[in-house]
Amino acid sequence: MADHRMSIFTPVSDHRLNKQQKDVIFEREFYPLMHALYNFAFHLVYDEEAANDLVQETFLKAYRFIESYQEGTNAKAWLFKILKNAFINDYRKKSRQPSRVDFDDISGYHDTEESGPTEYVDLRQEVFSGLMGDEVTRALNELPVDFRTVILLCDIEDFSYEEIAKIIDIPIGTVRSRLHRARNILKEKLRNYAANEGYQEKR
Amino acid sequence: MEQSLPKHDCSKFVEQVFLVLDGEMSEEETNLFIQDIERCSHCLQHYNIEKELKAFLANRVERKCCSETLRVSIMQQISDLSDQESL
Repeated sequence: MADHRMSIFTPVSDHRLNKQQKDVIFEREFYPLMHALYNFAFHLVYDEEAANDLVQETFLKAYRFIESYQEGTNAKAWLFKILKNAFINDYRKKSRQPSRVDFDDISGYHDTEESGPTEYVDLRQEVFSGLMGDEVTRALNELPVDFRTVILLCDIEDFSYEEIAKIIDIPIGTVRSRLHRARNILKEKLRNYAANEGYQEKR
Repeated sequence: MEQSLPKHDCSKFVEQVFLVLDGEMSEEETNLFIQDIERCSHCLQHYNIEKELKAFLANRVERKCCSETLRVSIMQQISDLSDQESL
């Protein structure tokens, strides 16, 4: 796994890019992704200023390490990985709180991460007709960050499991199980909102 | 017609539903999956719920855009770095 982290900033060749080549990559491939990067950053930190800082840091790093980007390949995955690493460095290390705490906070999800999807949270379809977009946003916001990250990458940004695995340095099996659990938690939250708001919910 | 399909197994649904919805299955596998769950109202209902949840997330979660100020500032910083380097 350490390899992923190393490889992101390892030059792809000895070939040095000149100013014009760098400018072209930024114009054509990187700048169009700024809104998507900001959206990802915002949903990680829920703070405009912190999201701004993360996006800025991402672009400055992208410039510094541009030799390790292979032109015309997956710019989006590359930049998202830089942003995600920046987020971990800036936030996780500060708190010294291992992210595992997030997992333990959620009762009923004690199976190990590698175990395959087994349980299934039921939800009645009628729940959706009564839900507003902001309730889904709220449920997402309340997810622990590791779960939120996989939902953002998969459902909001449409990355493949393989891309997600590379972006967050976890095996594909873990992407799968984390997504599964994230969706179960989301469904539980939505079911609770619906119940609280008086929609008929029978288990 | 459906005799060629193996017996429906609900536990397989849980295993495969996200792979199908997340586009991780081949077209052929996806078609087989859909054919299979159409024989089970329970699984079909769950499939529709998962599909709707995914669509909700994709379409209804608020998307934030970066400010014009940030965009201009980043482009200016990159341009400055690029100019310095080419001196």
